[in-house]
Amino acid sequence: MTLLAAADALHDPVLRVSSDAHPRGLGEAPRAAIYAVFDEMPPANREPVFLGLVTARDISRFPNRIFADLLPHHLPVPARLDAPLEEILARMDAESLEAIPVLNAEKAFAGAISRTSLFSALLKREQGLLEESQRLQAVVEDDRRCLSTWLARSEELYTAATKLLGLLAAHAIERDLLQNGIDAVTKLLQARYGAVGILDDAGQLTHFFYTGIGPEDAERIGGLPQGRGLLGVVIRENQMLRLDDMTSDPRSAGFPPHHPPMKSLLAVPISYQDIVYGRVYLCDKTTGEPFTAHDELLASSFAGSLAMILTNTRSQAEREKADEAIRLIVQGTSSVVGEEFFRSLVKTMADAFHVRWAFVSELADERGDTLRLIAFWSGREHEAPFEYATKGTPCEQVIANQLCYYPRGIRELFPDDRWLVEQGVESYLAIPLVNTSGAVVGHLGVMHDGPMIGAPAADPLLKIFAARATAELERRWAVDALEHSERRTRAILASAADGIITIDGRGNVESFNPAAERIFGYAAADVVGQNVKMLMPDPYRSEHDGYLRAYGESGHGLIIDVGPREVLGRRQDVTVFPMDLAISVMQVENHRVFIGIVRDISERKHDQERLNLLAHYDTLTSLPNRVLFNDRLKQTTIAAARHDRVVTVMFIDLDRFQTINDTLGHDVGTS
Amino acid sequence: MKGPHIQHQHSLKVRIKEFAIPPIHDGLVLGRSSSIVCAAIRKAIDLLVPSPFEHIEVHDEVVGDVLVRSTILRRIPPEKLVAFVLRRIKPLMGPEEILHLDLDAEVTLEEESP
Repeated sequence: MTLLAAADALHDPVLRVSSDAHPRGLGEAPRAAIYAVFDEMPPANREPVFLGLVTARDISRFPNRIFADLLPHHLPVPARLDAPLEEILARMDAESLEAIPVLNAEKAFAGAISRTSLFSALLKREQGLLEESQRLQAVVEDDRRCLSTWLARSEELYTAATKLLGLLAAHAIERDLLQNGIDAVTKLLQARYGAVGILDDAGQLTHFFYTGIGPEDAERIGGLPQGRGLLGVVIRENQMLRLDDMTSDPRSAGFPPHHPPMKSLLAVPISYQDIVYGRVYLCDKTTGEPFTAHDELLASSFAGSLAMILTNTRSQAEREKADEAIRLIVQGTSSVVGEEFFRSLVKTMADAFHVRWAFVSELADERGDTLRLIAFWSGREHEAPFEYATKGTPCEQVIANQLCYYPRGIRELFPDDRWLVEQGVESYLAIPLVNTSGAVVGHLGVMHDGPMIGAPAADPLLKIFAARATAELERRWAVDALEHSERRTRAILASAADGIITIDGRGNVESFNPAAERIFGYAAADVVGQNVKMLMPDPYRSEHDGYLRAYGESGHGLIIDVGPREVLGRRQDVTVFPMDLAISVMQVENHRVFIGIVRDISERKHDQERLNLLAHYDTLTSLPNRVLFNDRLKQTTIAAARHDRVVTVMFIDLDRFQTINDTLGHDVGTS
Repeated sequence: MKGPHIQHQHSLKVRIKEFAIPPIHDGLVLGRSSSIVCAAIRKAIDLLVPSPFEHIEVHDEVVGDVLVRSTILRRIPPEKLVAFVLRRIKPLMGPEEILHLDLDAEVTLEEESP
């Protein structure tokens, strides 16, 4: 959520006027208008120049002046449209400004901010944040309900799949398939011996089906091939091998005891789309000839078909695995949010992928040079969050928005990543976290200290984890931004020099900021919930209910939206003081809120009285001076003319009065 | 009943003299709260008075501005004029008044022979 700036708090209406114009010549202006004064007739070839702002208060003080003469002597430095509101408020307080002009990026006049518009914007934002907070809470609740439903459905699916598996006896199908297959290809290629070996994800031989050797011989030979010799070469190097005499090959480790002697060898991989399921081995043609390129082609074709059948058979198992993983995610993360969610997620990921490490990160800077690991499961425990530079690590590629999968040998590929080397990481799988705007905001992945063969089949699974993590990250940021914005708005309202009081339609106080506490001498707790009349002396006190009622009926109020008016306030110690009061109305859904901005003007009034005294009385003797005498004489002659009376002006001159002052002192002269 | 007879008498006195152009000779002292201030007065002067006037802003609670014929300022510096206004004219005026000035600025020059 963006922070409030000048552009969010522009006053309305702001009327453009010429510096020559007279306020009376404009007709009836809208209430609470601020006037933007322009020199509309600058020298030729120049645009009209913005001179400054004039408020209704300025006009009420000097109603006969033209706008040029109502301008302040020094134009306050205008604010930028993107200037933060607290900066503007601080300036308004420091420079005692009623309004401040705002310029756009081209330095042209863009509007004005008044205290009323500024505080209204802040209060509206505070109200908006409250509503956003409630909405987010509702979203979280919906999310949880959705996950609970998902969990229930996933469990049903899992139960059904388990039952189906039992019925199909998938393992038996695979075994029959492989045995029949190797029998057929051995016969086709006229080989004496044939075998098919199936590997697990780590490349270890798990199943071995053969033909040409009887059960008794097989029993005497013992367990599965160890893969130390040529078979090991085939497995490690993942390539086709055709030898006329395997015993003469230096890589041969010989045969185990009771194993029949064999001479020629043809071995081809069983693989489909980079997934290696195993190898087909054929030895010694019955004709005594070596295997040919044609035999190699036939064997490859058979291995390819076998791989496709195995893929189909295993995809069912992958789906079941994914279902189980989804169930794990939902169970592991449905009931938690925030940090606990991410900790639960990485643990669940490690379980679902059968790997040692799992992690979720967010960008620590905009460019993605540094990542902050929010949660990191190390196989035994959760590590504390930490940051690290991505340069030279596989994470750098992920942050560039691509899935990275290294089934083995990650340390050799990224030798500069010291952590990978020190920890002995062998394999890596991670995908970027992409937000709703399409931007990468972090990454999520797993690592293992052994090979991670077959993991891309789990790509959809990783995407589910990523989507869930991104949603939680966005929710967390939204909540963080919301809390930050709320704190900031409250801080501005709390630190404002003006008292800010909000009341509801019945006159009950809803908020009372610290400045209002200082002005009225009440603590907020003593005022909130009470009727605002307690802050007024009579006659405002007894008339207030009537004002509110009239406004409710007509939508018009004498002092609402008209800018600051001078009224009287009543402090807790029942003293009465003059104050400026500006009232505006804010509609929040069906709720009407009145915002009162209050400023104690006791000091200003005192200064005005002092000025008046200085202007009309002699500072030395405190006797009325010539100005006051002229004023009184004028009033007296007007009154006499009105009542048809005669006025006499007498001049009394005291001879040598100056001598009295000079010799006996002014005190004696005055007395 | 018949009330007393009241007879109204009306009389009109008029004193006529030629409107002088320019209406302002040497300067004006504008009170801080006068109803017409610098910009409006300057526009009026620009229209009615051929010779240029200078504006001097004064930081004082009673006097706001001084408008003075530019030629006067050739003979007396602005700060001396302002000091004179504050010392001698300010006690006679209120912040809402505008006073008209007829200034006689006399300069005495002495030069010693080398």
